[in-house]
Amino acid sequence: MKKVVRYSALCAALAFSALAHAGEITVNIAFKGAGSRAVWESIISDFEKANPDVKVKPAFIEEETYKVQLPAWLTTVSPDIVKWHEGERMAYYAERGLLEDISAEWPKNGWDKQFASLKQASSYKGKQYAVPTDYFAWGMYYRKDLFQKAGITSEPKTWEEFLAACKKLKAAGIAPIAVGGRDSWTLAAWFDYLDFRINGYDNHMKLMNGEMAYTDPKVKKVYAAWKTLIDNKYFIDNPTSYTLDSVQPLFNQGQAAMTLMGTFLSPVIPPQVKAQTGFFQFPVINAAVPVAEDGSAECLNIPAKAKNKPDAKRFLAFIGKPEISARIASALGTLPANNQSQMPEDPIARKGFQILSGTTGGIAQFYDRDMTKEMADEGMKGMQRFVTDPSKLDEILAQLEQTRQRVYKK
Amino acid sequence: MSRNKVHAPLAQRRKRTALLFLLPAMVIFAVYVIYPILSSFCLSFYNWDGVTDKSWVGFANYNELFHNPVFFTALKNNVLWLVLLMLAPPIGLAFALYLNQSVWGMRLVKSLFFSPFVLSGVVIGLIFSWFYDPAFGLLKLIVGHGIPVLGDEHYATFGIIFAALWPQVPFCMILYLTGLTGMNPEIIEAGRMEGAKGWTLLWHVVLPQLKSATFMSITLTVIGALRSFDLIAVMSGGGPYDSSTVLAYFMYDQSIKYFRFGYSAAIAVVLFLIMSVFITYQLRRLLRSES
Amino acid sequence: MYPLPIEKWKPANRWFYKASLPLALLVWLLPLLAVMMTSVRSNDDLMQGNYWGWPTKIAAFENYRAVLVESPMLHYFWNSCLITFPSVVGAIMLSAMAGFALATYPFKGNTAILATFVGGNFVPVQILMIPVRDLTLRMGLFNTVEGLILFHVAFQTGFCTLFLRNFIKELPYELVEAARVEGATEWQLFYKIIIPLITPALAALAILVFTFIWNDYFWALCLTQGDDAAPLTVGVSALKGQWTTAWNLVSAGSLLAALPSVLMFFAMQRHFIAGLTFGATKG
Repeated sequence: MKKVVRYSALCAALAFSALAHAGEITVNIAFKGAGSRAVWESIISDFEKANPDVKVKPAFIEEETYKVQLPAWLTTVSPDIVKWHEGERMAYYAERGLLEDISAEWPKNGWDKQFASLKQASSYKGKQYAVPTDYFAWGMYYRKDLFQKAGITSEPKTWEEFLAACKKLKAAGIAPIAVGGRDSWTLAAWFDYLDFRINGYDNHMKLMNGEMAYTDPKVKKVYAAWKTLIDNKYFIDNPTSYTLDSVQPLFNQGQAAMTLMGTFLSPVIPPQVKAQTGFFQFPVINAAVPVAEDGSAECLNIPAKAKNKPDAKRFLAFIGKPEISARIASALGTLPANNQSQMPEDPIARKGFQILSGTTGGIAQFYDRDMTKEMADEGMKGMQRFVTDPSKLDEILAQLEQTRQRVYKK
Repeated sequence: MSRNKVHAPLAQRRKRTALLFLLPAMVIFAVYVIYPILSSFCLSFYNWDGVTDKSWVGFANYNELFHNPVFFTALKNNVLWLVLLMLAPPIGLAFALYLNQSVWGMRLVKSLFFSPFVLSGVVIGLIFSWFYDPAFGLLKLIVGHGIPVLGDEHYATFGIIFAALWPQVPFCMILYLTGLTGMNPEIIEAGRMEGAKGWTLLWHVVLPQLKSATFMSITLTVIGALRSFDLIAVMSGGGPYDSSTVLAYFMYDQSIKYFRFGYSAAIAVVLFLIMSVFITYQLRRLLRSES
Repeated sequence: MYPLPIEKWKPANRWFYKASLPLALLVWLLPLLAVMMTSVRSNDDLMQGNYWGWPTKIAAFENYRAVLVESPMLHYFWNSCLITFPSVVGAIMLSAMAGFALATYPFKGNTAILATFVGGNFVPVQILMIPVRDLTLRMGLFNTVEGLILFHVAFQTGFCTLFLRNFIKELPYELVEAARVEGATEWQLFYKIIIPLITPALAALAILVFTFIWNDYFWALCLTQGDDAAPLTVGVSALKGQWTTAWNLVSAGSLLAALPSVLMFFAMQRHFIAGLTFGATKG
């Protein structure tokens, strides 16, 4: 046993010795579940086959753990590649000088064109710090059989149609909308979409950037629309009792008819339910507001303290290829970031792709990826309080405004 | 314990020996526990995100803390945890009394009763979440209608503490079982001879003999209550909206999620100060009972 | 003996007692049974909200296969062993010595040192997180089994020292004096007289500390990254699914992870109970 201890100590010492071998890169990958780990393992081994002079040393870290540890890696002993989220999440580290500027790689690899729609999200102050891998679209999952039973003939396109559909479902004894509010981000999807449709992308981003007051009438209008749904009991009972996991049985058993969620949910819907499941774009509330969407993207970055940047860049070039993007996406139930990639087979993923590619009003990352983490969490807790007791709205917004002033003052 | 006076040089030598025996434990403990505590004390006067440089802010972190309503919610919940988890020792004692028989297979029965203690908090949290599920939970089947235990700010903490009792009770049970096994049978017999029965016997004769088991159970339950971290993380994440958070979780949130290390150190210091009241009390009791 | 042994009970009561045992056990272990059921449930069942009913399909083979074969569970298991055993031995050794010193030698500062150990023991672990991480990094022990061992030894020493000090204090002091009269050195006194006397306590403590360290997730999370040194608890949490959680796999993994502690307790129960019995000799 002693030998093994010593051996593993040696390995660890080697891995952390300041001088990594030339031709070796360490890659930290966040993963959830065996599937996502397997696809990265196979991609890495293909990279090594294509680049025999480079040895990749991957570390697979469970997603939640990963989030906790990332700042420490970036500031102390950095791997050569990390996986992260686009937008504000990435900008946070770019701003602190912890990520390598890879702007030069973009034109070189033809990424300007292939990742055109994600260039903005990969940039901070006009420079690119990331290569997107995959992303997902959001929309309304619904049960076709329940819609039929309630006498709804087509997918709602406008808010009036949507409300009418909810009313019919309610009358048929079906809870119209399922939401797992114990995972507060599932509520944030509702805020995002109501805000997109009522106030539009630019106003939404102002709020995300901390430039708009939470007590602004525009914000109140979003909550007023939300309140109509709550007051009419269009959501399931006790939404804050369920997580994303535990709310799904309601949908699968046909007790609830709709749920607003990302395309990533599609692969886990049981086959017999999936046959009855459709997916539509969030309805239009104000026709004058250009339609915006959430399209959360994942990416790879090179930490500023990486030891082997040249080989790390080769790795990124490999990952950026259309076929690799497609492989990642099909394994994770997401959409390939590269617009030359083949689209996934999954009908819901395809629908999601159509929604995003037809978007004219702008693509946001997601409520808690577009804002600083602390403000986002406070906002989402406010939503939990709001759905529990909508009459407290003014109090909640006033408190959020206080938080905003504190968080963005710093 | 009585001691004879020892001669000075001998006392000197023994003192040195004592030091040698203590040294390894003291060194490692100082490095890994004492130094970090002191370092956290210092950190609580700084603003630090773990990435950029630290900046001195004086008492600003504490000031913010005492003006944050979440802090008081967390404090209140900490007290609830301490009080309600204290049900574990008496329930554990009841279990121990129930199981302290030599029946065939008792060893297995005791082991099985003990087993919740070794399950990971994550799984316990999960099972109790399902138990409370308002649509499909066992609780709904039992009472007939769904109660949103974990989704309601008034019930969430109680729901989690109830789950926490499940592993804590068998732990206390084991401590009491050992106490019962080691009891002096003559004293019990003498008590019985004098006509003590039932409660009187338990209260006046048995319990005094279980004093050290009680001490251990209470101590470990307090530690358990303060480390009540996994279950909160799994069952409610401190929610809904911070209503079920405790200081330890609040602190973890602030440092891990928002990288406010100075602020979270300030929370830790407050928690530590609260604890030190308890530590002092326990220690004094322990030492007084020996003198 | 207390309570009255059932041999002396009325036959009806005795029968009633024996009948109540399995019943009580069933109710008490209901959550555990639920975990077991979950570990053999298929994902479809969970997606349908079938948490408590009989599984529609027994997926035991698939689930346990996924845990044992398709994830590096055995590697994590080995890491857990590498971390836990040396930590337990180290903590017990150091604290036996410290406990002995604190119990037998009255010197100035004795109480203060004891108080420090006890105090450190009650500290919310989160307070240590940031400094310990830094420390481990600076010593080059980050993401190594040794880094975790050192920390566990240090942290458990507080509790163990208190426990063993109390235990040794309960021993009749005459033993120590008699040994000294016979010319034993202090070291001999420790390992020839005291250690054999406290062996049951050491065994009991070992089991307890074993469970603490074996189940540790928090520190594994703080002091490791990737698979190199990660223990079982990290492995179990890695079994969660991509977006929704594969609770059946997590349950199966947790049961496997808990197994060593349960077995250990079952096997060592007699020692465990005997070992925790301090205060007994002081009638």
